[in-house]
Amino acid sequence: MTIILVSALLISTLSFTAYSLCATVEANTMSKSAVLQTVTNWLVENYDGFYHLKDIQVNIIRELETDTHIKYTVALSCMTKLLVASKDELPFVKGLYDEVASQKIVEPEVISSMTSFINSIDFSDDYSLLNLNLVVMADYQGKMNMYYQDAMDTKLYSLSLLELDYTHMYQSGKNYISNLLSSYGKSEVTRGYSLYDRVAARDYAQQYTGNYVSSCYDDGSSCGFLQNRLLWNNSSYPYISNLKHADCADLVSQSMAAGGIPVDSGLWDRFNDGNNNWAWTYVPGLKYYMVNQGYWDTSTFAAANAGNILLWSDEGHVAIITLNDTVTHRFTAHTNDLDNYQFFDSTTYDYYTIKTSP
Amino acid sequence: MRKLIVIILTTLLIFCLGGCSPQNSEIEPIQQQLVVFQEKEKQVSAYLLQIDIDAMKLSLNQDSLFSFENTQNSKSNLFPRFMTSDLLALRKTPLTTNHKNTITAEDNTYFFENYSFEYDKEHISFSLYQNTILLGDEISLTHNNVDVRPSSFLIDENGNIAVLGMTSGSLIDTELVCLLYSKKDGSYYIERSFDFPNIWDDFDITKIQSPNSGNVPTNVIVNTKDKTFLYNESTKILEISPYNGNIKLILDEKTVNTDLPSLDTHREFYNLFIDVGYQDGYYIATIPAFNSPVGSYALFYNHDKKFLGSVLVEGNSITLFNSENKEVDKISEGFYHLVFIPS
Repeated sequence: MTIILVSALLISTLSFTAYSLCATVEANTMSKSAVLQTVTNWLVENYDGFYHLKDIQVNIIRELETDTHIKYTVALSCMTKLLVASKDELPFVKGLYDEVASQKIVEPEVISSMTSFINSIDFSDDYSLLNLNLVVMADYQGKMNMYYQDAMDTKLYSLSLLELDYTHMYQSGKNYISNLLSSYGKSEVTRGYSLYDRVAARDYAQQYTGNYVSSCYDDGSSCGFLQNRLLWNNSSYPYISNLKHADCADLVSQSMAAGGIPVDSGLWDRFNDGNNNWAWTYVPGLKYYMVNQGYWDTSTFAAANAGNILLWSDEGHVAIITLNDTVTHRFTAHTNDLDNYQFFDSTTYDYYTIKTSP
Repeated sequence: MRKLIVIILTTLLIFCLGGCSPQNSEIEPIQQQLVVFQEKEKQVSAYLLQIDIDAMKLSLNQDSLFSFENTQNSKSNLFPRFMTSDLLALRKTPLTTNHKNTITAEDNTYFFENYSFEYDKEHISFSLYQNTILLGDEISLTHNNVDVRPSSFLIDENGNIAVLGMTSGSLIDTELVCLLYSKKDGSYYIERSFDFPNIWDDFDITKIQSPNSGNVPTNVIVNTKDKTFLYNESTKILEISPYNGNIKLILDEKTVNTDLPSLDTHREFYNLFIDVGYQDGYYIATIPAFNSPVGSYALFYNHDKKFLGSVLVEGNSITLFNSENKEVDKISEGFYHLVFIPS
């Protein structure tokens, strides 16, 4: 009798455990597919009013389980092409024109600045890469909350900040003119570098950066960083172990050099500028050198475009801006290699522009 | 009557001993200090935040310490070069200041207590002042005949000068060195020196975040109690003794993950720690609040590296957490995510 009871108990325990395991696996599987579907839906709904989309890829790259929820980091990638055929059809540009008309602005400097801005919009009739990560918090009751993971400062933000809204873009264009008017007449020191080729800088950054999602390996062990060194410009700028993967400023310096900023012996000179706080490879040193040499001017989210600089105000990270078509803004960075990652206007960023004309 | 007087005097003596005893002064609350920043009417103002670690209380001084015109709010635009109750050395002239002794300091000047150290790049030497009195001039800065660019200095109770810096040369050649100067016949000479060629591999740290100098926010501060240097490499905080060349690991990512288990330190860039500080026997380190709304943590450790609690400064509040990461006090007011640690 005892043997029968023990056997029955054992069988029922094993069956229950097996059932529980299956249920958990099934719940997680369902949850993951639901996560991927929700993110894909959001992507299409958010962007297809402004862009043609193709080659959409959505992958879970991190999973963190807590007592209350699972936190999924979802890498999202696709190719985008603006729906409009010309810059004049962009809501931001319509805002510019309407503000100039409604305020009856005739000052040649303001009109010239506006025209110069419109000319500098990164408008392309070809497809461009878009990458971004979303964080999905899924609780065990099946409820999901989504956040935008800003890869520049590794913060989570409300997804609403990424929502593309015609009225907001139009108003931003109007505000741009108001800001131009408020600075009108103020004398400005000529700075920048007239020979800077920002497109060459952008192309360089993109050419030597892959959007890598798995860890690199040093001496056979994972380094913990998401880098694809095979894509780097190893012949001109060989990697050395002293860097220990911290190469965000190195990419920005290489890109600016590709854009024509001259190497300055001993002062901005890869691995040879220790007396200038490693200005080529160390973010605070780079910022100090570029600002004080007059190459970098403070800029704004709206004005900073491809080939210019996105800096985290803690001075812990720096990136090259690769696209500003007034609808989305994207950057390319090293350390964790990210190519054409979307960013938005944040108080944690500083923007710098290398001016090519007074 | 005499008996009454004796009783009164005895009572007074007991009262006085109780009230004035050294034990009582020892249990005075230890106040830690941070500087937080707030934007108001086109100005960015700095405020002193007091943290009573024993009582677990926060208090914010209402008068601003100093203010700047609201331009870009990078760390290097806002953070003082040096700050104690006796001296506030800023990088640029402020709009307002309430500190009794505010100066605008040159890039080549370092401070320690009431000493200042002026580095001469041309002659690879330094001058040392106590207040305004010159103690030593054109003191050579070399190690094994290689120039040294200094990052920090300290003066010990015997008047010795310790300097931490990097030798000149390429990234591959440069080395971290520590020089200890003594005074003999009125002149300073290097009594002892140490170099640390293996520190980068031993501690798995990057050379490009080596001790910096001059024109960027400092990454080396002084532990005034033990007379050591605290070097923030940004993923590890190391303590270096100028007397025996010993290196101790004070803080790293593993420790932070243990002490703040809810903090997800995954990040897209290399840096973990923003800054390090040392106040009255307590280590303080600041880190961003990764994977959360914008904010910064200041973590407090005692001299034995025991975690005591943290302060989170974010957009609409400052919150104090105890060592078990339970919220214990809060100020509901908005601040920048940047936090400065005074000396």
